[in-house]
Amino acid sequence: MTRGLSKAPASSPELPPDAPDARRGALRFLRRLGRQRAFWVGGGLLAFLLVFSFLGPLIFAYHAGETEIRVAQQFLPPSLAHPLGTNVLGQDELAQMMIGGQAPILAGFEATAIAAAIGILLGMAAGYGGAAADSLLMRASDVVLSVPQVVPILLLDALLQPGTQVLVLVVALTAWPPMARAVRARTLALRSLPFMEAARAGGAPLGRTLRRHLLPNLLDDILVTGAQVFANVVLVMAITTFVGLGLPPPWNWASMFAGDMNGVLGGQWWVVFPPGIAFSLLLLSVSLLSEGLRHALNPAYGGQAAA
Amino acid sequence: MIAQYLARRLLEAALAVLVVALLVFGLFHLMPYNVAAILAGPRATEAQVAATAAALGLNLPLPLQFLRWLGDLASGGMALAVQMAMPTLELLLLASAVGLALALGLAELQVRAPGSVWDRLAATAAYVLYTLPSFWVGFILIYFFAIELLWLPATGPTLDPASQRAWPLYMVLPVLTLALTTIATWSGGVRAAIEESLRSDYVRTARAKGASERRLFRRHILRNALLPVITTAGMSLPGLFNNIIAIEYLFAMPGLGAGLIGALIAFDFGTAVDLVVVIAVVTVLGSLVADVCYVLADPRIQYR
Repeated sequence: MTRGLSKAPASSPELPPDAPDARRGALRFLRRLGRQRAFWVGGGLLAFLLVFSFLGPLIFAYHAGETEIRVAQQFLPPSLAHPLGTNVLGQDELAQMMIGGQAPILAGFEATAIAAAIGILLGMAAGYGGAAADSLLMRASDVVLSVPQVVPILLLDALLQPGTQVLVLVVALTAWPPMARAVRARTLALRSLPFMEAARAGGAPLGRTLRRHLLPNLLDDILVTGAQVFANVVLVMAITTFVGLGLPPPWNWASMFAGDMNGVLGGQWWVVFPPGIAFSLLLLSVSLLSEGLRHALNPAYGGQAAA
Repeated sequence: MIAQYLARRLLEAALAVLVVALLVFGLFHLMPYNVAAILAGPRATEAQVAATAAALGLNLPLPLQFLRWLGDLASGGMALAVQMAMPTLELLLLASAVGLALALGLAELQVRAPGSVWDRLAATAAYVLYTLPSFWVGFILIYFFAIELLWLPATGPTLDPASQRAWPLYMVLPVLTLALTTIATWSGGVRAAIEESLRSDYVRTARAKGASERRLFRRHILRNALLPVITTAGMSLPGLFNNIIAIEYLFAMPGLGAGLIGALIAFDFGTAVDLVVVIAVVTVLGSLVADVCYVLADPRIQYR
């Protein structure tokens, strides 16, 4: 998101006198970003989770990825050898948590990116394309919104057993309406403002008008809604995985719940808490990150009180 | 006027349900499965498979099959599906009521003393709830209240007669889990609505006339703030169903989730379509009822 802004001056050779100004603008943006506590906390959290899930298994190789069942070591409480104890199969819980983060994080960002792309395109088309396109696209979004997302995912999952990529696509296809609505609302509000009129009157082609003049002004809405879409797709995939469909093996934070349900009944708290806390931290980090970026992008949007 | 509005909205709702039914019906018939062979069993002869297909009308052209299915739905299929959905609807209604009460309570805490410890605590609680998977919240509730404290049963009301007799006791944890999820989705909207109502002239007038803070909240703020909340509640139904399916699974309860997953695993596409249609009817009716309530509650709204 930010790259588009900082790159803008370099790719506008037709406006040389503006370039230093724009570069200063990018610098100001980075300085504002540096002052956002939400950005640092969220970014730090997300960086930690990424290192934990993707580098962690390389460093903490203890039984990581091992699927051998050691019933004798079932449900060992936390100790030096097993910092988070062991699970129902006698596997190290910390190693499981590390590997278990990979699928939700990757699939979450992929699904969010696809859903956001669909939502932004349809939202701009609805807001900019006239009444007929608007009415058609909003009806389509109503239909998608009126079906619980889990239902089509369960149907496809149970009947076709698709791989992760197909699942991500299906989840994204159920998750775009909030983005489309947010983008449409802002587009409708912006389309008749003077700078848009000027772009049209100056004879800018449609694609360029939308990309260079409209899109940058939608960024803060896209960031806010994007974080909500991320939370939504991650939780929906968690739910479908939890009921035994959804993300295929290897295990992830959501399928760990299902496997460790017996741990709950036996009172083994160390298998109960970590996966849920991990989900919460992931959603929290993305939400804080988007909050910080939004405040830095548009300081007038709610001020810095929430940072 | 209102009758005309209602008729148009009902027609739209029926159309939306029909579209969903068509989509799901089409989806099932695109699946690469020989349903007749699966239902006839692994040791059925070819003649028996053919007989099953004929009995189910699987040889008819698709549009005819769709009409036939609509007829079945009208002549009892719907009643059966609704019966299967009843436990889910009970859970949904109870949890919505509890969730709304909790969200309003939280909002009252926040609005009475903005910026106080309570305000920040309530906001943080709602935010954290929003980031937690619903079934994990249920997990934690089971862990504390059913396993550690032994106060409540660890499942919802199952088909076991004992759990049906003690129904209220068994419903506490599932309802609480779903209600907490509901708070997460509603509380932001409730608070925004209350804050907007706080800034209005009628609240200033009421305060100037010496209304107590309690009366102010109950009589003046709450009533007006409820309007947008009604809309949010209607729109959040599909999202609630996502969580209901997980919660029913976690608490081993019969209902739409269990019915749908069971039907899919058994390749009972007929039942699965019926259940999806029931879900669609409930969500579409939910937003319709919300809109109608809104129109009835606020005389300023024009029916369009």
